[in-house]
Amino acid sequence: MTRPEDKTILIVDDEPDVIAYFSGILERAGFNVMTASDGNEALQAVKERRPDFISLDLVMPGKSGIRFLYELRKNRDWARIPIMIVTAHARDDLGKDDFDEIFSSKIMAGPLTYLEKPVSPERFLNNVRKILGLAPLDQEAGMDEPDRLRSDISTRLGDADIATLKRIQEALEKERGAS
Amino acid sequence: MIDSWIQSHLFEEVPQILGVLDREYRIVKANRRLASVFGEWENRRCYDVLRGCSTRCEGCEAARVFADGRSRTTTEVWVDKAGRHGHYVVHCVPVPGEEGRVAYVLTMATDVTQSKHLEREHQILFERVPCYVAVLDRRLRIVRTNELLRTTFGDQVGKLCHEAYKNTDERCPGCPALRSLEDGGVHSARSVARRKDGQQASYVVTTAPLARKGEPIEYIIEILHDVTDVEVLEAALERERQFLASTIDQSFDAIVATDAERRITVLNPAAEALLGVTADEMRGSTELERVYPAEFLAVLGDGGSSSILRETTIRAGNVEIPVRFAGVVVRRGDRTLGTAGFLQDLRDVKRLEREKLDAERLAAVGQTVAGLAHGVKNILTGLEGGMFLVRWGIEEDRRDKLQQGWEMLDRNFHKITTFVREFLSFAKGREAKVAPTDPNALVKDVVALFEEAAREKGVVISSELQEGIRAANLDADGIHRCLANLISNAIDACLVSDRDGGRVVVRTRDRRGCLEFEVEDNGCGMDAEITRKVFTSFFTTKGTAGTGLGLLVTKKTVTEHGGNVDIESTPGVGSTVRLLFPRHRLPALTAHGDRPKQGGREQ
Repeated sequence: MTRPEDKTILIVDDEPDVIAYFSGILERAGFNVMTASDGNEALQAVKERRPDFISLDLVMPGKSGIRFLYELRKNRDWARIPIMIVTAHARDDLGKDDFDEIFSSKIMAGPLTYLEKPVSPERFLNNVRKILGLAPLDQEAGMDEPDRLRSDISTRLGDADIATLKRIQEALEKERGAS
Repeated sequence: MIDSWIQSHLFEEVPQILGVLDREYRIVKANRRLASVFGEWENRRCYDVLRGCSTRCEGCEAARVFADGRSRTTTEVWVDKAGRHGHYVVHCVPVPGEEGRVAYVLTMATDVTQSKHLEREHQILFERVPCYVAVLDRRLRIVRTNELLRTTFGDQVGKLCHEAYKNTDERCPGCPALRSLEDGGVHSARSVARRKDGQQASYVVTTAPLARKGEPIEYIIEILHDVTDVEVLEAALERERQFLASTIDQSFDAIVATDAERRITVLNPAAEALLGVTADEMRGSTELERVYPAEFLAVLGDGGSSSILRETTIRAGNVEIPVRFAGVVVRRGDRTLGTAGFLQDLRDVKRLEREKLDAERLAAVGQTVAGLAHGVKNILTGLEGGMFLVRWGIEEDRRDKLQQGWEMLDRNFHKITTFVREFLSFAKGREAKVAPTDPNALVKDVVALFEEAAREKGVVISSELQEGIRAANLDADGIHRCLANLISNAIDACLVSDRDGGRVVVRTRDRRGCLEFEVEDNGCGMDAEITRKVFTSFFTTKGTAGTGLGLLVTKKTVTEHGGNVDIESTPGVGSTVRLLFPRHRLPALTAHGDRPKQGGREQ
């Protein structure tokens, strides 16, 4: 039986708050955590100790997520590390191209998933556990009302495309013009 | 009395040359006139005296008179005592002797050399004149032709005129020869004739009676002039004219032209549609202000020769229509032939331009809103993280997690406050107040604002402003904020850079109808990937220090001015950001008397 204590997870994100948040979730669940604030640091960390799982942001100054993946695949063993893309930019101009490239091609040999920011602690943890073959914690059911609303808002925000937002903007402007 | 004068004087006084020959052809008597022309004659033979011959002439008229006793008239060529040939009309009369025989012949000669010369010259003229000449009788039968006519049409003497030239039995309609016969006047007509080589050619036929006024007309002279070449030219000219006319008619551009007296001669259908007039009502009119813009009329008034107006207006009824105009005074040498103007309706172009600007603005708004949504996502993630840590701290009584979570919440609440404030001012930026603004003064203002603070941080700001830049319609506050944002970014880039001696230069430029603001730094620079993303959406590389709204607002403000943002950047070398405003796309002035909306602008 695999235990979280046996697994090391690398968190790559340029936002210190996000690193603090995700490493908090994983540490509390018992995992070993490494952190890096861009692709270069992440590569350094992988060289020092091969992680069992990588949570990766796409848009970062310095070396971006996709460029880090292209470096990683050069090593056949590293190429099999499960990757979870966690980004706010899966559908916008900033990250869309990279995102599509990663998911439409076979850059990496290992499992590949993604989560959209913002993300609840439960979803984040369950995703990591699932890919690592650990039983999911039954916490989704215990979600309270604010949690559900929050998750709802994030889903909606994530789904909104520019055309929809433009329509909303126009509607708001019309409202303003009328008042 | 009279009889005795005749007997004694007539022989000498008649204005003719008189000589009497005997049957041996000796001149036995002659008057002084003969002696003065031909010299000595006594006892010499006539052929010796008159022709310088030693034998009798062949076909001698005198011999015939001696033979049958009848009078004869003939023409002779004689040689005078100086050896000159002369033409003479000679009258030979028998003088009877005894036994009824002709004893003598009286020869009376008149010198016609002068008239012979004239006749010959007429003959040459008739033959050699460089046009086709024929003489017709009253029945239109050709009685005589000249050399050129014979060469071209062959010898047609004896044929009827229409037979000869057209090979037809019928007279030509409107035959000028018949008209000349009828009224004795000169007439002409166009005709096509067939030459002897089978070719058809066009001629102008002119006819005139060969008789003096009042005399009965027996003959008609007919002169043909070849006009085939002229007709070919006329046809080419007509084709040219047709081509031009249909080009003008079919043109999408309105075309108007006048003659030298500035009367309207051409107004094509496109011009009718544009100006709301008809060609019929305008033709001949001198109201050029109805078809030419005022600028071109001024050029015409000053004696100028052309004007090209990229954008002007023409008044059609009560409407001002935007047009592009090209006008020219058509000259040949020193002579003015007229004027021509080409008007292109710019209404559609203007509408498209407006729609394009609107679309660009809307796209900028859309991008901005999308960017804002993502900004909210990041802050939400921070809040989510803070709450998780706080909950963890409470549940497991871990003060460190509580502390960390609380700080994260605090930071993100602060961030969302800043964000909302910036967003509000950004939203208010839509109430742009556009006024004529001096771009250089604007830059001086912004630079002065940053100079001191930058110097303290070791960054030098300078400005290089092009002199004499015209005022432009700008939302001064909006552009001020853009420049402040760019300069602030440039200073930050210098501070992040490893090098000392940070430098920021702000420039203005006005070239090719485009107003430019430029902010250049020698800071850290950005790689191509980041440069590409800088404006596309909500983006910050300053971590928690920036909201990422600055450049987004700049982009939006510039787009609303119809402008563009351009970035060049090299990592480790520096960045140059340019705000480009094509002047013809700048917004109209905010209408006078517009009151700012309630609440006003922050700061």
